[in-house]
Amino acid sequence: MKYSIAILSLFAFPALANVEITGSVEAKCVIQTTKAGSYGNPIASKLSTTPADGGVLPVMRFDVSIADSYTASITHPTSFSSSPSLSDTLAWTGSTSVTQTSVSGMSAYEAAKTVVGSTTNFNLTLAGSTWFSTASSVTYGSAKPLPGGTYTAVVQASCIAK
Amino acid sequence: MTPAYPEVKMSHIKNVVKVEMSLFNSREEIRYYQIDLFDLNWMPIPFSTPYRIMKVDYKEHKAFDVYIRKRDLPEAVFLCTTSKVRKTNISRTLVSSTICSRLDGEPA
Repeated sequence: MKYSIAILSLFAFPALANVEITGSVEAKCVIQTTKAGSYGNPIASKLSTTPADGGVLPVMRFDVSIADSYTASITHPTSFSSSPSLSDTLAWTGSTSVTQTSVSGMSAYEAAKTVVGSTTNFNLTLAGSTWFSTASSVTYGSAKPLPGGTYTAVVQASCIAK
Repeated sequence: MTPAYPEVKMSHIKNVVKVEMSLFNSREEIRYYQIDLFDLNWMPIPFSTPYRIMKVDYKEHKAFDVYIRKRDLPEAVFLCTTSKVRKTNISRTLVSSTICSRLDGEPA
């Protein structure tokens, strides 16, 4: 018995192993909705997301992990995705702006943006987070009152690899 | 959706290539994403995948494969996932997000 304990004690070293933790940083874009927008109804014929009109601007955050890999394209609505039955024309306006940035250099995005129709394009040249807000406004017919009901429109936010 | 510049691999089907992708849902209000493939002019290109619209829960990672015919590969450029927004009963703006990877290689 004495001999067995002595022999076992020779092998009683702690078991050691190296466990590696690996990771990689690759080009990646994540879009999150920071604030859901809603329409205010300042006058009978108008719906608007502008706070002065009683609306809330939708805010989207784009997180980019590698600089100069993506373009952000944000399209403001030009139609309702759901609404009561409408018999007259709708006049849509909208715009998209940079509202907040995680890196000071990103403030240049606003001056460098390009607008094509209802789509605003931003070249995401720096890694980090950028917040964009989209204003949307619609006026019904010849100042006709909009029918009562629920109105929904979709802002299309795209992050496209260059 | 990652990778931004996926590698095109051989598949187990003759004359069909495969792209392995991964999607992470960071939007709490979204549960479903649609997969699309486009050429440089944003015209749709035919492809196959197990689920054209797939369910991805909040904070969930989901891997998926996209199969493209070899003859369509030279035209295929943008592989995109678009969030599907739900109908609501309050007047609001909804945000539909699209992330697109490029199949024609990394930028120079």
